[in-house]
Amino acid sequence: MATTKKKTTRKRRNPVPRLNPKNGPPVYFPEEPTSIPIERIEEAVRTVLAAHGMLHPKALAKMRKSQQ
Amino acid sequence: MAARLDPAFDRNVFINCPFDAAYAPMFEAIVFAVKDAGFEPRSARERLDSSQIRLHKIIELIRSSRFSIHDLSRTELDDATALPRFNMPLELGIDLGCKAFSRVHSRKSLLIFDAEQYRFQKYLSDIGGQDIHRHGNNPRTAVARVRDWLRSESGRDAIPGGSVIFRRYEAFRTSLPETCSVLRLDADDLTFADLSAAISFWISQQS
Repeated sequence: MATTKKKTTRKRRNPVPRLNPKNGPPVYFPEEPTSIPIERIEEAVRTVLAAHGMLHPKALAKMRKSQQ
Repeated sequence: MAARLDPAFDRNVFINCPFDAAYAPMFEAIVFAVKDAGFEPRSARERLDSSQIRLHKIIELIRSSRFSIHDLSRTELDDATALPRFNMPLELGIDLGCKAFSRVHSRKSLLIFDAEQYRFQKYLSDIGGQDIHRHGNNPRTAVARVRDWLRSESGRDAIPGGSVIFRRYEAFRTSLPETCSVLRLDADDLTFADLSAAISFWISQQS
């Protein structure tokens, strides 16, 4: 029986939809690995934006939901 | 065999600039402007595999980037050696060669910066006739030039204005020490990929 090659899909981070502008340019993330886990960078940025009331409402709601 | 373009070719912006501490604010501002305009900055500061020859890495970055920013403002005599550093003019030359000799790379667009408008004529007169932009070592000016160039060369309409991008950069820069504090890092400890990821996430999450 002929073997079929299993299709693999590579999880890509970019482009990610931007939360705030309706018609703004896309935001890309670096393909190079970060020196610290990217989740930690995201968490730190989100924490500081939230502390200064600058976090997008949708991101804020998501953050609160994840903290519950 | 015809050369193949990197899939990210149209969004990559190669940044050829000095790496000294005094240039850091300018570098960060340019990286932020490129990101906020919807493009991806690429730099030789990216992680270098120890088995990889540095020049090969730079050539690969040039090959995979439609846009390039070359800052020649630090082409000056080194205090210790009394010799000029020619890395940036060399990389500009490689990029000009890539654009000239490769048909698929003929769409490349270069933004050349110097500290003063006509200084290059004294050390690199062969590039006379090209538009050399003066940034006066001012990040605000550099951001505006980068934005205007990307807007006109890419044809994208949705790029915010230079003053808007610079205001956002200042807000990001103000928040960076606090972000680093949460991460228990010094801002100087951030690698290029760390900074790039932090900027991307900051842009995508703020209101």
